[in-house]
Amino acid sequence: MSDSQEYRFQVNLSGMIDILSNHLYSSPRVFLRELLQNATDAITARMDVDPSHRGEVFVELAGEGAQSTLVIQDNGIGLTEENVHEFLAMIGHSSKRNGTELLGETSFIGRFGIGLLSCFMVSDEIVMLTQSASGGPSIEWRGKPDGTYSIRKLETSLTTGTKVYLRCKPDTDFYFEKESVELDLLHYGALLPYPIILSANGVEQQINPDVPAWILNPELANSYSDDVLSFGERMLGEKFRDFIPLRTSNGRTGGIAYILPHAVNLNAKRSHKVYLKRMLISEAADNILPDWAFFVKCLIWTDELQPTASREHFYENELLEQVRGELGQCIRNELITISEQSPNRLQRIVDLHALSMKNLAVQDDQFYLMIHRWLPFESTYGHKTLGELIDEKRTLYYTVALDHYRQLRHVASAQSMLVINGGYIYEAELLQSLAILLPQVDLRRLLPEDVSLSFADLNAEERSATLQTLRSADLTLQRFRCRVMLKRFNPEELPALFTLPEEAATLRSIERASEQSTQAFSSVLGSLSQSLQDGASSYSILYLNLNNPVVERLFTGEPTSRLQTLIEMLYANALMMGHYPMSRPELALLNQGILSLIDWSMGSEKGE
Amino acid sequence: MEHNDMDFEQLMDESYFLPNGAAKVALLEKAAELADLEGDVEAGYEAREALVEAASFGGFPLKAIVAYSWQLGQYDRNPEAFDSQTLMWNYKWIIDDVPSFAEVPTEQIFSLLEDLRRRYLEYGVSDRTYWYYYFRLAMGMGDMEKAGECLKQFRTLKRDSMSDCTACELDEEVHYLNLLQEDEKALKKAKPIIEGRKACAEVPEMTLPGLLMPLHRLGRSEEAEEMQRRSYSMLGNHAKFVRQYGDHIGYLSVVDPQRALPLLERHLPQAESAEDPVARMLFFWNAAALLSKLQKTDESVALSLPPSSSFYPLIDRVADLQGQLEEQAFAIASALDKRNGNDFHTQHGQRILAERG
Repeated sequence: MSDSQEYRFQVNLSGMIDILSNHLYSSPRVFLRELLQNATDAITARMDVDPSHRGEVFVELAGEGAQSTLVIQDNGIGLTEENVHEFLAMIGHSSKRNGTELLGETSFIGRFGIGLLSCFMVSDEIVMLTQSASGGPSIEWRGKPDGTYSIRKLETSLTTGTKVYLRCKPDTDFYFEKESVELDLLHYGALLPYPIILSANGVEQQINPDVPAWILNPELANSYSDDVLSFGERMLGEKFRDFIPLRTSNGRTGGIAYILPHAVNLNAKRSHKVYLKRMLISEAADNILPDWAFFVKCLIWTDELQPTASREHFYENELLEQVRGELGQCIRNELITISEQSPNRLQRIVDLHALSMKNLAVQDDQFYLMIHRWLPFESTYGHKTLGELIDEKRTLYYTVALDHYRQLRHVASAQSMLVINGGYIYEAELLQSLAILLPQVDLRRLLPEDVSLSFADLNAEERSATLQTLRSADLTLQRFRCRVMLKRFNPEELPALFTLPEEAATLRSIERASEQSTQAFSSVLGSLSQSLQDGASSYSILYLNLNNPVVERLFTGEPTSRLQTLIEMLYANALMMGHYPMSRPELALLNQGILSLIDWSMGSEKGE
Repeated sequence: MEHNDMDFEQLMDESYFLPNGAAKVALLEKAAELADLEGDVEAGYEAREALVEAASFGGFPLKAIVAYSWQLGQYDRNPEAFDSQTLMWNYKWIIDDVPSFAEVPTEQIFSLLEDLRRRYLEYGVSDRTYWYYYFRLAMGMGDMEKAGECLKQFRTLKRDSMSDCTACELDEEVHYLNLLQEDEKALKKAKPIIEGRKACAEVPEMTLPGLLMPLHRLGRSEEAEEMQRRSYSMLGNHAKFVRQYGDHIGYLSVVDPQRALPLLERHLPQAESAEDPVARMLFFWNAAALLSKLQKTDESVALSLPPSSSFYPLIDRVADLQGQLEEQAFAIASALDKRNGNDFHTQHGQRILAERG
């Protein structure tokens, strides 16, 4: 032990470990990635000196539960004693100022130290044996999280490379289980160009397959589609049916985008696997593809993007923006190709991912033009694709609110109007921009008040015959801010149609809430409704249908004394038919009206 | 499935996975209506609880206020029947939404705030949230002195179960420094947000756009440039970020007006239909500044807007469009200022136009 010396870190090491594990890395399991990264860097450095060198990483698990140990050995360039002092000094140097700056460190030695430190998240002692390719004695380094470490020159000479021993600390044995280590090594190292061997329970196996040529040259992927799909299933855990090769123009970023075989919701987290210089950097990099691309799950490699300090995401900069744009372009181009070569396949994909396709179409006119015929819409002609609707060669009316569509669809159907529901997410925007993109399609926005466009006006004779009754009717509903109009329309069984412009709808909802609310809120609601009441569109409209026999009788001859009650009943009925919740005064109408009707009918039985 | 034929549960399920915004709000409103038609108060309450959140965070403050009013009334009638935790928590959002509407007089706003205070004390939490929302109200109403006093009060109290998350609180303090035009202090305060150490569902999305001009004014152009790209790509395309799009347009109007034009075309239709008048006002000012800037350099500037936009007739008459935007924005500002008894918003608008136009 004469050569052994005690040193003390110039660092509060436990503080550093805390920074690493609690603030930087998403989980302690990244220690394995850090170790694999160190091994990779060491092998790369050795191959720079000796291109014929064949790298290998050997991982050995022993013991069980709390007694588990993990050994990882590489045949990379190894460290000299000087190197070891260098990275420790670097950690000490950086941590004196602000722990986090060191994490941006990119030199091999600096990164090596950080990678090693991350092992303290799962082990209370790290032992490293190393032999540098440039000669000198073999070195043993032992470090503890309390900040002490020792360095010893070994008598015997080891083979070139580095070997790290970890013993699991309490409650971290999970990270030393064979299944978990095997899975992590595969995920982190799947694209590494040299074998990773795992030895556990006396059994050795190579973890990573030989890197398939088509992933590095994605333009080959279409010729190996079975391989591509099964590799995707192994790496991403889902059975895919379609994929899209990705590659940027400079060839420094590429991969495979697998189309998800099921619908995804809009809030779903995107979990692409992204490899930086052949090492998995992130399983949650959500900023490498455009937002709209949530119908794909990708395996992506890159050697040009800059990782954040945690090495789990990428810096949002111009380069990333460009890469994201180009990868998005790959997806878009491939969809265009599919639409030309196998439209049915595209229809299947669009049906699964209609929402995301619509989102993409909203943001990108070219894409929209390409895909518009396949997008599904709800209409008075049923659920159809936009292509089918256009082929009807009629005027396409669309509503911009769910509520409007609901009000209009029955009446519109009766007039054979083709109305598309634009009230669902993205649809109104799509229909609006279709008017610009495809000017040859006769496309018009429909407001609730517009439905009367297809109603027939009365002729002059009818008008003068009904004028007086109409005036009384109109007056009756003034207090409900509703106007009465007399028209002819289909279907004739429908006596009345209630329409509610946007502002009037807001007013109605304010009034109803106010009835139920507290005093403080009622006065606020009162103030809010005041400015709305001034507008003409704050009135709802009750259209009465002169084609309907009952309405016709009502308007024949002089206004009857019963007119007011009858109009109120028609109003209440129209509200109910339109599924409008009623206010208290409206409910009162209904009650009084029904009583009056009963009274009248009994009167008529007695021959009044 | 046709949305017209969906029952209450289906509407609620369908809405659950949608982002806060128009589509979600529409489904929940429909669900609330169905519940009302059935006379099912419990279901109506459940739908409105979700509606208040979707509307508050989806750009529909008026719908949020209306739905919340109904809820609170039902709760007072039968407090045992409902969960007060969520109801009390959501009250904060409503308090924040109300002052944007100039029609609501000051005393009504403060009677709500006092109502919140009383209910919170009854609920067993401190005045911390009261002072914090008083601080936000005062800022929104242009009373910076009062805002400062509230901030002091607020800082003396300990966090409790009604406190906003620390990222949101920090965001508001940054906003305060921005309003005081304390660029350097604002940026320093925002550091944890910029570096991603403080974040939540709305931060840094809400914060970063407001820091573009401060960075630019301090000559930190590279950081501003990086932040503009990062922040804009984070915002995506959501009607709830109308104010933030305005900030981006204003900043780009100063450094690279041509790059701002597509943003204006993309977001103006969202801005004009924004329910929040303050968001509309701020966006219009920034948009007007950009149009004025563009006319100085390029005489043939023209816009592309969808025909459904109310500004569509003005796409070839940029000067008129600019005039319209300014007029509408200043009309909102003067109504707010009149209510607030100061000229805070009008001055703010003039400053934006002078600096960015």
